[in-house]
Amino acid sequence: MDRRSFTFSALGAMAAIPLGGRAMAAGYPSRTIEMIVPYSAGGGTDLVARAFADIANQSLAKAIGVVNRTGGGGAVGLTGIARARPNGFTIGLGTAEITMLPHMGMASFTASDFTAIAQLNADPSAITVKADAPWQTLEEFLAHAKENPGTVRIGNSGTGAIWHLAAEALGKEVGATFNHIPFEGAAPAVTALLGGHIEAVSVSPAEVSNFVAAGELRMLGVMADERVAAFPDVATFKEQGVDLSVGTWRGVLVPNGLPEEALSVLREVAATAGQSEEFKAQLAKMNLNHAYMDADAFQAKIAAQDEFFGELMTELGMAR
Amino acid sequence: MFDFSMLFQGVATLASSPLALVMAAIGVVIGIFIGAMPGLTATMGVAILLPFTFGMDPLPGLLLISGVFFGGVYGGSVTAILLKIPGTPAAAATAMDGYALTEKGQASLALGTATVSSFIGGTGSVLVLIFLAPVLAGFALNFSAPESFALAVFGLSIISSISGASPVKGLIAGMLGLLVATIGLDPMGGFPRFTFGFPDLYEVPFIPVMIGLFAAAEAFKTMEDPARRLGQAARLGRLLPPWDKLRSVLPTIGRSTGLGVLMGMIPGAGADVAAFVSYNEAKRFSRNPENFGKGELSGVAACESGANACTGGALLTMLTLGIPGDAVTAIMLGALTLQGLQPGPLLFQQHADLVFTLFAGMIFCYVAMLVLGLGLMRVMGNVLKVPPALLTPTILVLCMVGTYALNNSMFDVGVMLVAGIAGYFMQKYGFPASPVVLALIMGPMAEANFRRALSLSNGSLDFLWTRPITVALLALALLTLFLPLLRWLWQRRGSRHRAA
Amino acid sequence: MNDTGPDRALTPGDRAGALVLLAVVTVVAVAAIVLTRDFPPNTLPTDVGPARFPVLHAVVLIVLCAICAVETVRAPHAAALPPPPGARIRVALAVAAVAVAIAAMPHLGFPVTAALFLYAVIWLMGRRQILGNAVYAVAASAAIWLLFSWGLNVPLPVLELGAG
Repeated sequence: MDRRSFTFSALGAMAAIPLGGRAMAAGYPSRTIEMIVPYSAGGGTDLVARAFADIANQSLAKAIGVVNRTGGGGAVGLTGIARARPNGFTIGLGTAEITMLPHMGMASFTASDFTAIAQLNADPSAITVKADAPWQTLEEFLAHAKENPGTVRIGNSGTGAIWHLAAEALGKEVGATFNHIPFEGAAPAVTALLGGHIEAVSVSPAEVSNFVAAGELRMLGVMADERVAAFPDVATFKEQGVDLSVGTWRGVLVPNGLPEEALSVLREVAATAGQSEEFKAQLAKMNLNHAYMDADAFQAKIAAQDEFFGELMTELGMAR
Repeated sequence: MFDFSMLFQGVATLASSPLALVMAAIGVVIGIFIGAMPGLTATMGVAILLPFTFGMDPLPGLLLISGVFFGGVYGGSVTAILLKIPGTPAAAATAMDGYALTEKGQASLALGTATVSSFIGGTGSVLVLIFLAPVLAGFALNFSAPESFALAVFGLSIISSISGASPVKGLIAGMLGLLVATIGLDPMGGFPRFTFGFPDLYEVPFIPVMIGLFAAAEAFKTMEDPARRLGQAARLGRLLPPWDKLRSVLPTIGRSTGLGVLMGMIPGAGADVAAFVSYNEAKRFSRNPENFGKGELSGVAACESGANACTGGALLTMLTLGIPGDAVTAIMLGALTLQGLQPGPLLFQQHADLVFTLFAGMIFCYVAMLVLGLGLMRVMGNVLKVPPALLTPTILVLCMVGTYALNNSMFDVGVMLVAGIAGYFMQKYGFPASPVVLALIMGPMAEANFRRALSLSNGSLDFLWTRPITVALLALALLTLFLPLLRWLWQRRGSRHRAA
Repeated sequence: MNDTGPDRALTPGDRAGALVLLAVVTVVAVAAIVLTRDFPPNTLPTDVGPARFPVLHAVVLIVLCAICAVETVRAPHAAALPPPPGARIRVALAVAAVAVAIAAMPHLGFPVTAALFLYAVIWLMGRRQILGNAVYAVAASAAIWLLFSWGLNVPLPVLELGAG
């Protein structure tokens, strides 16, 4: 019921007006740019958007204001981005959900309705168990799951959400049957793990970092190609013999058909702001993993992920 | 086991930081205002101010946010009492007796009692947070899906005690609310139910429905007879309630504060649940339960102290475990993290000095709320002097704009209008609106947790009778549900016999 | 609130209205049950499926409506008070005004729509000060607009003349 979201667009914008003197290109942007965030204010996606907008505004003639448009597990806001007038004055902070929702019949857009500007952040899935759990390594955990099919309960942030699919993909990859328990977001799932009501969670390292640091939870591995900067001691799944790399990402997206001028200004601004030390520092404070990727690489990644999730969901019988 | 010197030191640090005190007061005023507006919630206020705190020191920044949080929970009661427009879901409970008091010309008594109750409830909860945090830290972890399900069922059983004259009509309103609450994504499978292809309906538009049912419906009702006005209610008298009135509601406030702290600690239950549960228990323990819903002062006191006591409980779970119980504390958790303070088991060891200064500041926030609240009430009370011909249209505009502001969605405004029409007819034919709100709060919680509990226990229903908290709450629910029904049936038979 | 408990007398209008309302609720409940037939069966082996709860709620709702209908029919008669003249039309017009405002706001923007809406509804409520009402309507909508746009940073729709 976390619909109590809202909007306050020009907050960052107002702060940045005195700084916005340096216009990058002659025409664009001639007025305020609205950045749609499909999740509620104060959440991870929202904080990434605000941190990005604050820094990007230093080099834009007119400021970016953040607008939260929540609902439908992101579908409402993402539809807003995809269906916005392609004039460059409505952009969005997209997430991995654009490659997932369409396959479940929960969105009127597809992943190809978006043009990529830049990826800003990526967080892998991680398998985390209680510190007093008998499994010290991923191998022991998976062996136990295979011996006891259906009894290992993995909490996720909602059916069809990225962490659920990560756990499903893991089960498929190693041939184990888990009992997937959906919660209303990552925090309640982690709470249930702390209380010993489930065996593991598949949410991102950021969402359990607190408890891992305090010695209450143990992270067995991350589903990434490289180790996560904040947890250099936690091995990747690949290192532990499971070839799996699943995670969410956040990046700036626009609807297709934007004028060339607007596209190039936005890409340039995103490249500067997205790779600035200030932005990296902001993400680090929030335990988020900085992962800048330019437009071409990002667009290719979206296409590849779209295909991956399409196949996975069809196999799991979740595609509609 | 408790180190008093830490607290004294905290008070001293706070006193030497005027900026923090000013920020706390500003936060409270902003919070009261945001809470009073339909559609704007404490969550929204906290998130609006969050970016401003990035550049501040931890203490003023966190006290600004705490002030908005506390003020926002309390502010909802002002418009609920004066105009029957609950600014927050918790205030929907306050509106039941608060507005009835205004209609009787006792608006000042209701407002004053609400303010004092909020102050006592809130301060009490912060004191619990200060002195009992280590003892109660693990409480939230006992609450798994079966317990949350049982709590939601208990919450739903309260429908029978807020149904007014006709239990059947109250139950119909409640069941209608439950049915409406199933609109949106199915909590387990993610299947869109009754959405007719609108992604806007993937989540129940709860606040728009509430604004429509209460505020818009009331405005439409005023249109029937524009000449009618709240004659003597237009005068606000002494706001600080007389001691004998206050003394009579003190036991209620004490009990509600305890309940509020408990509800606050439980993840997923917030001020709204606390307000309704406190109201129910106040009625259960009252010597004259038949007065509830007709302007019973202890009803107002219960809701307000319960809702505000939630704040301390929610903060307790958030600070000691690092678990946010609701949307507001989730944002506060982010604010603390950004200030370099990781909430969780280590917070009290590593940053004890700051934590205790923060606690002292929270008490100050509540003192500021008491003083500023009484002052602002006097200003806001003037709204009753505005002629209805101007007030009612303005309320309708505020309903529209408040609903829109929630999510930048015209669709939600349409939902608000439909709910307003429904609410108008429900009111006209004696169907109460508050059971709908209660069902919208509790329905999704009950369904999601029942089905999650079933999955957790691999499809076995054993969880209903093998877990002590679950059993206790379910028993309480049965008691709440059937006592008034039995009493009502008994009275009905009695009156039939007399008639015959 | 208009109390219509079991032993309270009902005017003919209230009786008919309550029965219509119960009929509407029953139709909604039946429609909900019909719609759940298209819901998919259990997606998880240990779940009851998405249809179980809505069907349960709808069935209870239908039963309760039936009980309430019987009570309403059996309630004693009461004489009807004459309603204030034009009450129904005024309420209907107010509802229509809100609907028109919702439809117009994305095109005309908030300040214009709200001012027109306020003026119309104030007129509807019987206050006939042509100039005074207009001043209030413009001032109130401007104040609300400033409050939300500047104070709370909620971007309300504005009139966009030829904006691309």
